[in-house]
Amino acid sequence: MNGALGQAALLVGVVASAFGAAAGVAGARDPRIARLVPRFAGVAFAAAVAAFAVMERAMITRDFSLAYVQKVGSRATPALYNAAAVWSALEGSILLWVLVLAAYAFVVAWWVCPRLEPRLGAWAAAVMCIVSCFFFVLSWGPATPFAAGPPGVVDGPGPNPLLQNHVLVMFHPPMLYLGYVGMTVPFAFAIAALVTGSLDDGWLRATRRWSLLSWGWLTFGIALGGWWSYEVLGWSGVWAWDPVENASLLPWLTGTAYLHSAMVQERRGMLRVWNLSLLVATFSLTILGTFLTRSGVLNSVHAFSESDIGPWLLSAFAVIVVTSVGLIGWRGDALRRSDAIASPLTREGAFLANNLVFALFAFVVLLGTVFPLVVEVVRDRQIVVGEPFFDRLGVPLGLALLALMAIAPALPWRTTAPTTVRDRLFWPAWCAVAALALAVALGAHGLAPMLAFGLGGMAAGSAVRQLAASVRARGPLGLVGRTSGGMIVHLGIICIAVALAASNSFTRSQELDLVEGRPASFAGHTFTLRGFTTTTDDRATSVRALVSIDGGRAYAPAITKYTRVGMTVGTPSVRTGLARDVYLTLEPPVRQDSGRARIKVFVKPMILWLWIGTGVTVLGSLTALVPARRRHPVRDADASTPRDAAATAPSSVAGS
Amino acid sequence: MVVLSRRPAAWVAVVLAAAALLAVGSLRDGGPRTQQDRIEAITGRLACPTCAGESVRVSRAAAAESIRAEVARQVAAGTRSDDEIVGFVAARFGARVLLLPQSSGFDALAWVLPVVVAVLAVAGVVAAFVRWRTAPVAAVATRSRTPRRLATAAAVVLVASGTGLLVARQSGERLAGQSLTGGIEDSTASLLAQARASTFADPAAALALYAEVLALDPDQVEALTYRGWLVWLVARDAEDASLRDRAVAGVLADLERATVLDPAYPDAHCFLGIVRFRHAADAAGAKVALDDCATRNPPSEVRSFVDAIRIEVDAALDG
Amino acid sequence: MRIRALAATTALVVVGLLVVLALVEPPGDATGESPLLGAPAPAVESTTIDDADFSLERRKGSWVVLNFFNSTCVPCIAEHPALMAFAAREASRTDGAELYTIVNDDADDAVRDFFVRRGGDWPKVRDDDGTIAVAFGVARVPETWVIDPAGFVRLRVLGELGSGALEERLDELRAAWSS
Repeated sequence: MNGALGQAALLVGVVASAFGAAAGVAGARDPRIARLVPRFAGVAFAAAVAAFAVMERAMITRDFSLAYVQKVGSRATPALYNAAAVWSALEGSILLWVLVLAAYAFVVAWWVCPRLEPRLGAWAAAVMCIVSCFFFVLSWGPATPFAAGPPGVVDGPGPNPLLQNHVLVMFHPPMLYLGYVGMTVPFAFAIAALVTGSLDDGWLRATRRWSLLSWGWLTFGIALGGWWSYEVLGWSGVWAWDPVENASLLPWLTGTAYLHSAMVQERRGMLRVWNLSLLVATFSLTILGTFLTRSGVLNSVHAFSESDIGPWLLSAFAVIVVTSVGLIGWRGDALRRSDAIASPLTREGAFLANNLVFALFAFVVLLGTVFPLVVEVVRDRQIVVGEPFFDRLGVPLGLALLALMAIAPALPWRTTAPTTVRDRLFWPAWCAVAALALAVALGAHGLAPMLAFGLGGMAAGSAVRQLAASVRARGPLGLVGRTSGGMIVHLGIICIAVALAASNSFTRSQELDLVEGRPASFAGHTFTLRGFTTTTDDRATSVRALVSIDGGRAYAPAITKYTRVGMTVGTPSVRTGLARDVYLTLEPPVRQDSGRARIKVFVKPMILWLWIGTGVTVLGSLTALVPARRRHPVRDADASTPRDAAATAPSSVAGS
Repeated sequence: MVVLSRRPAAWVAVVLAAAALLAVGSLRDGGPRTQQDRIEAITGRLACPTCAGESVRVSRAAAAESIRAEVARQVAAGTRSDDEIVGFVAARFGARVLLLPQSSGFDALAWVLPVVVAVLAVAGVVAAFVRWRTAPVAAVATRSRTPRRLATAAAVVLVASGTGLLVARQSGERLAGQSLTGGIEDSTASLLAQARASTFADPAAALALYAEVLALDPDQVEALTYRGWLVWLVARDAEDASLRDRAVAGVLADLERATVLDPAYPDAHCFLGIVRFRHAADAAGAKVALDDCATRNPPSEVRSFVDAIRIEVDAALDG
Repeated sequence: MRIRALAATTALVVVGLLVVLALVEPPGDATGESPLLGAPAPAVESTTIDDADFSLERRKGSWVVLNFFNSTCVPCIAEHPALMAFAAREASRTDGAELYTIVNDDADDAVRDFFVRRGGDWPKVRDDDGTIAVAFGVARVPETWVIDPAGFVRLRVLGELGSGALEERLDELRAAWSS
């Protein structure tokens, strides 16, 4: 029953979104038909909600007639993890994608499009519906979670045990999808702009908040993934350049570049081809990333099994890229402007450099992820491209980005003004010196980390200077709005970058053989084994070693054996501190009666600042969403509207 | 504030201070590496063979645990460098466990392409700025500029590829993963295996190989035993009796020493029995040795020699 | 004009990428290659689960078959009858190959139970910290290795053994050895 209901709902979604797409295309010419689009989108959204609700119900009631529930459901899994099990494997995650996409399509069609120039709005809604339709078809057909499984099954293995021991599992995928899928919206508007030829900034302004919001979700989702990796996987790191991680990073890189580059188009109408290309790239990379991680060509710790959706996703990727590139090429001449960027030392110049660095970064990540496939096809050999490759190429690029963050907020628009720039960079430069001095005092060493600390200090100084100027001009309200929000985001990113530099370069680790009652010391801390505890339930048996750090409370790294699945999972225990984390894992084999335990100790500096930085970034993106005083009309008429009206406003002297 | 920033002295101070601190920080020593640090560095260069992408450092898979344990053992032994340990693992699992693309060959494209793209992109932006600067004079005849443009483009491509290759050489993995490197135990194993393979085809070569092994390790039981056996095979047909006796005395000494050094090694006892019986007609001594041989589960080749002679020995004892 | 050129280049690169992605097959098992083939076998010093010593070097003179095994791995269970048949055939020959199971990431008791239930009385060698697996480059079980009487590695079989497959390959190797 659940299966039939779910399939029916998905079919309704397919039809409704198909009609919505048709209505959108036809509605470009006829406004009456265009009014139907929100209704079709609404039906599709309702269908998606229904299908998802049916899936959740099937999972919660443990309806083992469905093959998907047989795969990831279990009577023994606690309720929270069981509900989250819906998106723990391929079919359910596509269903989640459908839900989020249908929601976005509905909101866009109903709320945003009517406020825009009619043809633009209609085409944008149409594109959203086309993409929705594709995913509905995927979820109804090749990746259906509602297929019936072999009869007579009364219990299942449950989701992967790694997904069962931390509550973050509930939040990481939905948040990531809100960001991932949200990038469809600016893409839809970009395509609409190309098709209708209204290439000025109407579509840009309409989607600015969407892009920022999606970016915020995506950033938060990626950071949550890092947190989960740290807390659960037991290797004490936050990022392993895993193909699935890379798949989420790629759209983030191009998306961040777009957010900056869009400002140049708003102010000066330039870099239009860049912006369109970045948006197309961002959306295509979400599709490509999904293909790479779900088609089985690349394995990863996320371990989605291979299925038939590979060819579908690959074809979709092909269609998207060829169509978009074709459209850009077709409209090529209309996109060019006779304007020029006067010098690299202007804000536009810095944003252009920014685009370059981010694009290069995305190229490196994509190349590294895809290169093993290329070698396999061309040379018939298996190779692996792992962390060291990405680190070696990524560090210089990251440092370049920090340098840009340090200098760009001081650069003026349009013209180069060396004296002004010099004045604005003076205190940030001293911040860099202070940061370097602090780093040296705390024992830092190595060129790359030192550069990271120095540039980070300077970039923080630049951001604070900008915020101070805003506050001086507008009072406390100076802290909200796009520029100030952006500066707060910069502060968060700097925090993360510096924390990454510190923890990657200065982690110390040691394996210790602890004897009960006898303290061992390492890196200025003492570790004493106090004993073991064992807990057993029908899901797993868990052995915990109680280790007290510096004579304080006991931390309990554990080894858990999930009896049904036959999988053994190590769980770390972490003492978080402002300056460093002390991270403990228990190493097999564990002999409880021997009174000995082998533990691995990692002393990781500044990990807490990764999460603090994430919080600041999210806060910054929220404050950036607050509408500023309207300086430009929302609906853009012609290219003749002078864009630099804002340049004459007094606050612009401060560089906002 | 504004006043200070206009003073060149203040800027000189800031730049000098930053440079000095940077230099101090970059050049100073990080302190000794613990063994665990070394292990982390080495396992960070190796891919777990069952996980398609995760490094051994990160992965919790069984194969990764075993490799980590082996790396830990070798680091603790301290006989091999980081490169050698990586080579050791790659020699057994294949080049697919190397996490860095090679520094030469097709794989080096992974290094070269990003550098080439970067240089080309920078060149493109520079060209754009030049164009923007000289836009007003764009009407100037372009024909004279074409060879210059071609030359510049060629230069850019050259610089790009050159830098790319440099980066590849610097950062790529240089180990081919093909050669088996090792310590003393590997070389003796190799010599012993070669000697065994050529025992019948080329006894002289085999003898030389065994002598080499014994030079490296005088107590190598297998070498002692099989050198003795080979000498016996050659000497038993010698016509000069005193020569034969001297040779066999040496053989017996070798075999007996082997049984003392490692009583559990079956082959020595078996050969001892055979030689005692065949040379000295010592049926009792032979029986003792052959019984020892049988209880120690000899390999089938030796057993085939022994089975034949046992019957004779038993017959001799009965008779 | 430049935009069209850039667009065309991009399209070309992407098409290239698509061709690669379309042609790629999901990674299957590697063929039975190894840098160890034709080289002397690595030293193996361990104990059996019955606490008897085992040293691979000492078995020179016999054909040795090593089967890497784990009692919960599905293909290992599936190939067990084939292994039993092989062991029986070799036992009937005077120059029969010696079969040893190398236990991979498993407890003695589980292994003992397995063989008690399904039969098989050849020695099972412990490999507690995976030294033997690493020495041979064994990442996944089951794997079967054949070593000739001189101590050189001659054959590597990845995955489940088909019935009669091992006998066939060993006969080929024996023929090559005697010639």
